[in-house]
Amino acid sequence: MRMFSWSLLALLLLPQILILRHVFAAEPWTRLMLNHRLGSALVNSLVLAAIVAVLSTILAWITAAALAKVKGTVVQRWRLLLLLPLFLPEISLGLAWMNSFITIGVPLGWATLLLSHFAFVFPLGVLVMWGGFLSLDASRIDAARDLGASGWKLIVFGYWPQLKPAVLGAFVSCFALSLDDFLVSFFVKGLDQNLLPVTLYSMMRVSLQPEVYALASLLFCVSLLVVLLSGVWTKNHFQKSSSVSSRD
Amino acid sequence: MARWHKLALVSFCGWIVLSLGLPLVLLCVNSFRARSAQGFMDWSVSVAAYQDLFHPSYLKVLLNTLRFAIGNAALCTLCAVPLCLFLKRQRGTTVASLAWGILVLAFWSNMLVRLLAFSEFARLPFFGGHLMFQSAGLHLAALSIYLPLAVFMMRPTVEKLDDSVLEAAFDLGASRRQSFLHVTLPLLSPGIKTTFVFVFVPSMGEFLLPEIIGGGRQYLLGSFLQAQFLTARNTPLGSATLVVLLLVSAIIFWALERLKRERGQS
Repeated sequence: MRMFSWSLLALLLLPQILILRHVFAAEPWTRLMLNHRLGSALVNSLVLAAIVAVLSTILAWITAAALAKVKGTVVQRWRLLLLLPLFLPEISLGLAWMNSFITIGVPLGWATLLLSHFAFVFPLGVLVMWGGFLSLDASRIDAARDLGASGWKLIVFGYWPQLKPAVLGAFVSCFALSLDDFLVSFFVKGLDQNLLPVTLYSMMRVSLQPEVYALASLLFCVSLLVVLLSGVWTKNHFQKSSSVSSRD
Repeated sequence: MARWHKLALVSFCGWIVLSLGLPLVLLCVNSFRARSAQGFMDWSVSVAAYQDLFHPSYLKVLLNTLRFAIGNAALCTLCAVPLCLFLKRQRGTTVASLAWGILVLAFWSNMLVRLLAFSEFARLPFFGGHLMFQSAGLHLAALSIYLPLAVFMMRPTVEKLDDSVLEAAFDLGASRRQSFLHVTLPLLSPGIKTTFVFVFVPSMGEFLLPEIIGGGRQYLLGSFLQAQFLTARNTPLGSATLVVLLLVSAIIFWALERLKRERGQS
């Protein structure tokens, strides 16, 4: 069983390690620097993901705050619908949204990209924030309120310290989901919108240029860094919270 | 309080109606529209698209996709069970956190980067060209992409598995095989069902995998849908296929939740 498990894990990791050997050559990197199409695609993707993540985290916060207060109604049962975008085949969402935009007569472009990414990412944000609200210690909020906090003060000093992990989690997962998405962007983007996964795909279809490998290893290193950082952060966080609870 | 209720209802129902309801309605509408030979649609009603679905060449695509999706779901579930048992046995050790890190990393890396890496891997001389553009390579690539998801779905059930029950089985004289078949497997069956479904449904619409690793030789539903909407300009047929796919997925989702709720009550 151990051998089997390790070979499965090797299947996951080895191909990615294999890509990294391209890091040591200079040519892919210089070509990547000179490739303006990839550069602008990277910037576009990052900006779009940032806007979508900020927007959906804020709206998910409000929605989850409201949903957490509504108990025993229809809304609770319909919560399951939030899981649907993660469950359904991604291509069906992309095509269904493209079909609606075309049928209604909205020209495909940045607006449709923003709307579809938001529609795709928002439910995940709500789920993460909902989890945060469910584990919220209501007595601390009440204490803050009793001490006279209201409005912004209540949010900054009452909610934020407790909700920080959930907000960061929602933001990071929304950002990553939007940045990684290929199928939705592929269908709802217009001709002029240049996004990283779509550009990468078209470059992979035509011919494998060296700069694709450089970009792939760069992206792999970024995900590695994010996973390592989040691992360290959650570990610290749990240690801190467990030491707090043991002190109580 | 009423203000909160209203806000929750507006943003939540707004999202459901605009991003799930309206697109489904428009797909249904388009699937019943007639299409001229040049690919232009008018507003007359026709069921031609649904009749076309039963054309043998389209049925073959559907069967191919079903075979791929069922095979992939079975393979991922089969591999996820021992991997989860391994993770459980190693709990708290460095080995377990390393293995977990690999799974999380694979789950969060970019899909295209993973496919590029896999195609590089499949071209290694070690495999003698048996992986790229072959159905074995397609399944191996699908396994490497869906395995993290399968493990995440399987793990809660495996973690809940009570070792004392297994010990009881051994004390009562069960062999390793008997105890696995009659104790472990029935206890894991809810997790196995969930994992199977959560891999099966997304792999029905897999598009990048057959295009890049299959090299277009494996013609699956994803490529078919893309062709109907973008190149063949047969929107009614594409919409009809999509309506069927979405309905089937929704029914599976609902049945799974129903099963879960019944188990929770009993």
